[in-house]
Amino acid sequence: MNGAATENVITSGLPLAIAMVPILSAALVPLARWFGDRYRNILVLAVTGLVLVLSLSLLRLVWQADVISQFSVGFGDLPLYFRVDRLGAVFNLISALIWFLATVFSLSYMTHESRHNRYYVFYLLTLGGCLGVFLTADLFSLFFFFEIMSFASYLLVIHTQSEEAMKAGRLYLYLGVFGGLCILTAAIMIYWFTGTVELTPLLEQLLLLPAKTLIAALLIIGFGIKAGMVPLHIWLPKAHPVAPAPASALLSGIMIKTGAYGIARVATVIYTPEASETAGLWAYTQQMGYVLIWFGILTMSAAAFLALFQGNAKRLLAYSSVSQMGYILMGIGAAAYLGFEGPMALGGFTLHVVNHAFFKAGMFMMVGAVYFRTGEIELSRLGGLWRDFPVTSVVFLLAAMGIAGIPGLNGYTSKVLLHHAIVEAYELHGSYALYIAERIFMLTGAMTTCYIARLFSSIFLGEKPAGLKAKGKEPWNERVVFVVIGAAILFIGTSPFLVLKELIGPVVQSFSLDDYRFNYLLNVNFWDSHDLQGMAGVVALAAVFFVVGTRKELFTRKLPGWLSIESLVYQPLVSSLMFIYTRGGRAVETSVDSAYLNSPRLLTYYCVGGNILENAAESVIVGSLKPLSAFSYRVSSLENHGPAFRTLLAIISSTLQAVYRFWINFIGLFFVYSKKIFITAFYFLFDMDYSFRGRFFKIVNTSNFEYYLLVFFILLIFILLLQFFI
Amino acid sequence: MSLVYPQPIIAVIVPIIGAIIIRFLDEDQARERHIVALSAIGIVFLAVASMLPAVLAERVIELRMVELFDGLGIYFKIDALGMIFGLVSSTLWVFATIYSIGYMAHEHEQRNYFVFFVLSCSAAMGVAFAGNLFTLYIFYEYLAICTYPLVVHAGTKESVKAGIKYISYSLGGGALVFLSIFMIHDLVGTLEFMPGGILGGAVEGSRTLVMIIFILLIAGFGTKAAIMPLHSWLPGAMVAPTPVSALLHAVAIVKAGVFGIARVFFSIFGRELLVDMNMIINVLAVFVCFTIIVGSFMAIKQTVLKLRLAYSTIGQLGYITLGVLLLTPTGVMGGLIHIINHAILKITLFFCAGMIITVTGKKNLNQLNGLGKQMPMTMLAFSIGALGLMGVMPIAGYTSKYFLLTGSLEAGMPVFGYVLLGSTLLNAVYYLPIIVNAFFKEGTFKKQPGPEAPLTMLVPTLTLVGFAIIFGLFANYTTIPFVEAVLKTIF
Repeated sequence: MNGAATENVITSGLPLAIAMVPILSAALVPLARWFGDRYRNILVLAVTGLVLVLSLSLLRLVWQADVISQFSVGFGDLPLYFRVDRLGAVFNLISALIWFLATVFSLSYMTHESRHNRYYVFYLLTLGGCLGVFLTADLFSLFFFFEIMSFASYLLVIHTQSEEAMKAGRLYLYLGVFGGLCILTAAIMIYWFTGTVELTPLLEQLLLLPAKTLIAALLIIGFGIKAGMVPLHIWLPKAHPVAPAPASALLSGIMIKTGAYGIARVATVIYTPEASETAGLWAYTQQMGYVLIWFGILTMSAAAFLALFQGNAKRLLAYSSVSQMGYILMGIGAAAYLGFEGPMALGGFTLHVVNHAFFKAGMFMMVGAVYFRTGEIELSRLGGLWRDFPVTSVVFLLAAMGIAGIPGLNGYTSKVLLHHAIVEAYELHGSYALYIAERIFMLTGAMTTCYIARLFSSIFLGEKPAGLKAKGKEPWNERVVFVVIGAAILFIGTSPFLVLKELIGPVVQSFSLDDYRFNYLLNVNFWDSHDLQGMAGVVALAAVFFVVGTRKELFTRKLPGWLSIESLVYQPLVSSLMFIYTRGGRAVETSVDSAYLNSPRLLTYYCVGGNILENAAESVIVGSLKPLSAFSYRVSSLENHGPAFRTLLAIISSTLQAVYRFWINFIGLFFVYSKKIFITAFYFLFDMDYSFRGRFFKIVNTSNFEYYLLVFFILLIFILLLQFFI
Repeated sequence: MSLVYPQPIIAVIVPIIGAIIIRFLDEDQARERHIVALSAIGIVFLAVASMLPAVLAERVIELRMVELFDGLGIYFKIDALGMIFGLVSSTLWVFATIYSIGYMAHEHEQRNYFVFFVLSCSAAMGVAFAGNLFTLYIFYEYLAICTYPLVVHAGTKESVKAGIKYISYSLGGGALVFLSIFMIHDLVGTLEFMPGGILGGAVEGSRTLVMIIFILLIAGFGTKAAIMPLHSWLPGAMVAPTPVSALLHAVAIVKAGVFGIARVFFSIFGRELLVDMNMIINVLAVFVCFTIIVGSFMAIKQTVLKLRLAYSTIGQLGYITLGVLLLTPTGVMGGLIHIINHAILKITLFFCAGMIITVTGKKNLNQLNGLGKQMPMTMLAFSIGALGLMGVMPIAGYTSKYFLLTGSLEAGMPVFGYVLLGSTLLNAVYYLPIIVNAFFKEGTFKKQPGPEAPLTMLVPTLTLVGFAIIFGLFANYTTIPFVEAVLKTIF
């Protein structure tokens, strides 16, 4: 997609077909079910097989030139636009292949699950979405398929509908939506500022923007969630283990790669300068790469450490996936960091994506096969099963050695390339920090070897616990799947030069980077004594870990629950946000409410005359007693005229005082009650009581609203109609 | 006085006549009542739709009625902005009337209900087609008063309380508008809506007065638009029968509020004046952002389906106001398009909630586990509506979010974009669990023979879902050109 490769393109409907065939045929699954389960299985198998064949032919086409196809839907000037380069085609092919294998595996595995129809419908939808991501040419189309994949795979995660699955699914869904939104926002921002969302080098235009770092961060967060990048990985160890085994295999083996693919596109395509040789512009890409390298290192080491302590086989594998994504992220980071000189890193992460797809998908399926027949997934209750599952145990050993990076198996080849890449990055600027990164890389290798050895030995070796019984052996279809995977692992491991020349070389070549570095990549010697020594050191260190860990029973210890990024950061953050906003909103609501609700009351006060009127009236009425009191004063001057007068006066004045007090009380009560009456009347008017309680009630109450309105409206109509005649 | 376009007056008077006829029918003449109600609403819809070609051809239809005194009078003027509100609400009124027939079948006082349901249509049309602020105010109050009996229809203590709240808020808001009418009339001597605004020339020397008028008008119309401190009547009014909540509290009344704000912005103040007053616009924007975020958070906390939808409405209305506030072509486009999209999607959600209440009697969210077995079509419609409001691609709703986002970038205020982003996430948090629990959790619901809900309710709902998808897929040929016609009059 970069530089010279864009000159000639082939227009072909293949990418469109690959993405849309599974999506459209998902609608056929319920129809096929109508004829019988058998036909549905055949349909799904045929569709995934067809997609695999199409992907193969697409790869052959892409090896000649980039392939484009266009499909206009909805938003006029933004059609679904496909453009496949070699990197996308390789991702696409490996996904289609693993998907096909998982389908074959599903045939037997799904027999003990229910709701097959739903499973297969969303299985195919997810396939279409996932492949669409690898084939699209612009961020909007990519987003479209990305969202289809996110939503459809949610149904795979919660397939069992257990409490645990629903909980994991909820987190998966929310983070999926959040990630999608981040990507969409970034896409819209890029579109707004540069006028294009195509996955082409845009650095020259982006550098002019103040929001360039924000856009990059949004994109990396959005894709990083799907890729399980620490600290955004929290959904992954929960969601992957609860899905049915084939779905877990696809989630871990393929779907998280869409995140890595997105980050790769951002870091090595969008944020690169158009003319590859302009050295000054690479500085921004380099910074981005540096950050990504460290995120990769953090991801690989933290997840590998956590994987050591897992007791559930599938959760251990999920953590291992996070850790392996760290390798890939580090590769992408190194590719961006090295910039024009980054063929080694590009080749490394591409090869690691392929390798990880094989061994991780394989291991999930194999653990699933064991679980299917023993009903046990906890490592402490498994053991000694190699006799019951001969093929599975052999292939599992191969895959385990592959992930551990034992020479002769596939993981070794990609790890060598990645190691070379990080060393190159260190040598480029002589940054001491990157030397530490390289050491952590090696340490993580040791931890990986240790946890994978523990997984293998506790499932297949050692004493068989009492009560553990395997119902039958693996059937032929599972054996075929495992053998294919084992063969692929062995093939890549034993003939790395061929893979490098035929697969990785051409992919890297399409990026048109530094020729010298490219040739250096092509001539890497995998059996270099330096690399082999390094590997031996790693294995030795892993052996020490393993022996010490098992002796002291370190691995079966539970890490404290609070010691996770989720309970330390995310949960307090979410709950405090929730608290602040809902309490704030509630406070605003109640205060404004009480103001409004009391307003009729205030209204009544003022209508009655309120306190002002009350006081005024009182003074008037009290004043009316003034002459009386003046009279009584005059009478009181008669006091001196004898005792008879005095008694008479006393009687008169006490009577007057009693009358006066009564009068004052009466007035006070009058106002109190009249206020109450008015308030009651006000509420009574608005009381929509339809029950008939006398004629008077009907006339007074507003439930009789219609009468008043009728009078009003008849008048209104009359007036309005008059206008026609005047 | 010309008789060329009598449609506005038909749209206002026919529902009133219909309401009178319904009033004189007996309580048990259900058939006749339904026929009258439907035909009155149908005539309104046809009258409004028949004006569409003329409006799209950028011709302004005028109809001058009573003139009380100098500048204060009933005056109808139909332009593209009014047409959006008029067409959306009259179309949805048809659906809601059909739906009401099914929903109200077992309720009491049906006659009373239909009288006011039909009457409020006339008020809404008056709001849509008002040509000056005075007419707008008259019909705005008229709308508040004749929806009051609908809110308290249940007649329970709770509903009376909610009704008092509703009427106090509405009349309070109306009073503020009334106050500002006289201030404007005093200032410029006219109240007519003009494309460039009427206050533009009067700013010199009376800046403070214009500011006060702005605050009064926004507080007045903002009450109906449920801007945050003034929103509390909306969740309270959810005690109304569901068709009322659906039509009035998701479409007609609340949209009358945002429509009023848009009217005031573009026909009273004018864009240039508002760009000058950017300080107060920013303050208002802060309130609106607060509304969007807090409304969404409050929605998460609700346990009753209708209340959750009500708080979601508060947040979504914030989008529309925000779009109008941005004052850039794309932002306003997003806001106005969201009037259409939100109306269709939210009414669908409320219709589904109503069907659930009618068929199962369940109102709380935790009672809806496994409902997808008994009412698959309803929950499918609900899912599509909810996904549309979240902005998922092929359903309407994503268009408005897209325009709002680009509009906020265009205005150089990306922070509004992030508010939208956060609110979309919160939308997902409060909508998705409903869908997920209905379809994927085990519950006590069983598949029933026969249609899952009365057909008078199911058919309008599914038709609206169809509209939502058509407006999403073919936005380029439906909603976008319509709104662009409005933009031509503003910018």
